[in-house]
Amino acid sequence: MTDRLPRSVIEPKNPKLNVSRNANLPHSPGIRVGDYIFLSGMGPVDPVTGRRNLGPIAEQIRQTLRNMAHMLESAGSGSTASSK
Amino acid sequence: MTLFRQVIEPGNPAVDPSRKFNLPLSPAVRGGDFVFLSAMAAIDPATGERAHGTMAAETRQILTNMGALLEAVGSSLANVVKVNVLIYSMLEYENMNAVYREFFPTDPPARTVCGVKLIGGHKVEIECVALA
Amino acid sequence: MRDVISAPASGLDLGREYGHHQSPAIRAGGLIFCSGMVAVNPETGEREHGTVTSEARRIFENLKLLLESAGSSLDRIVQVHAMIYDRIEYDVLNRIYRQYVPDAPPARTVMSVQIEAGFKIMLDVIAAA
Repeated sequence: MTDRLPRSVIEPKNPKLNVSRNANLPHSPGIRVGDYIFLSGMGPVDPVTGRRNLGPIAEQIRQTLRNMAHMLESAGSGSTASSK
Repeated sequence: MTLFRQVIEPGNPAVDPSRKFNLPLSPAVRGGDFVFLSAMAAIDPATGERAHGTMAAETRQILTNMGALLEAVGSSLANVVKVNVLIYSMLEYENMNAVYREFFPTDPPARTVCGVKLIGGHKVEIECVALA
Repeated sequence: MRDVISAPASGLDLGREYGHHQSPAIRAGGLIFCSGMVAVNPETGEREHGTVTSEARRIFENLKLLLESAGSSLDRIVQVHAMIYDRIEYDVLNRIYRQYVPDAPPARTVMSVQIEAGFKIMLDVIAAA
């Protein structure tokens, strides 16, 4: 049997993007397991106010992906390393 | 140390919807021990055109294309570990399931099926994770 | 290396019970990929439709059986796709959910989709082996 992969929680460096903590939700922002990172569903949270920006869909998508990039940088990874 | 990550080009470009439909996705990406496939809809592998049909026909076309894509990247349907099946209505579950079982004769992958709104007029999309 | 994780109780063998062409879970690459879990009785295989609370409770208990039989556990789940029949019961789901993964919970995405057999909840999980 191979060794168990280590599992740890990933938190965003910007606390305004920590929806799990700020909204008291039962998930971690991300989990690192071995060499993989799994992120919780991310939305168009404003990094300054911490609230969702419900504007045009294009801007929501841009903000969501910027937030995801921030999550991956916080974990020490980079956006170009996403597989899925 | 960064884990190995590589975009994989399918052997048959016709089944690559990112080129045909100008979509921002890779059909398959290798990440560590696994290959992650984008969800596939029924495409004619000769022309790359959408192949609309019955649930059974679309399921068969997708899984045929998926098998070919996995083999082109050095994997196979037998190495698939998890499948997510998205169907336009759960009422057609059995029509999908009856064809699906032909493609995974033994030790089938883990699977989740749910009913969702699909685009492109398709009845079903299937994505998977396989061992590289 | 790809291992099939068999159903630890016969009711969890949804392939045999309901013709679902799937293994309960597959272990590969240090991870365990589970088939979408719904509220079935693990001994009898009977569907246990109920409230979001009762279905989620049964689902987590079934996942506990399945993951522990594979040498894992609920606290080693890394990702959950929580399928719910309607987002209106989101808070109800959270209330029971947090009881089962109270510390360092897995990453999660909640999706409002159509689930088999009219169930209200299905959990699709990946765990560390």
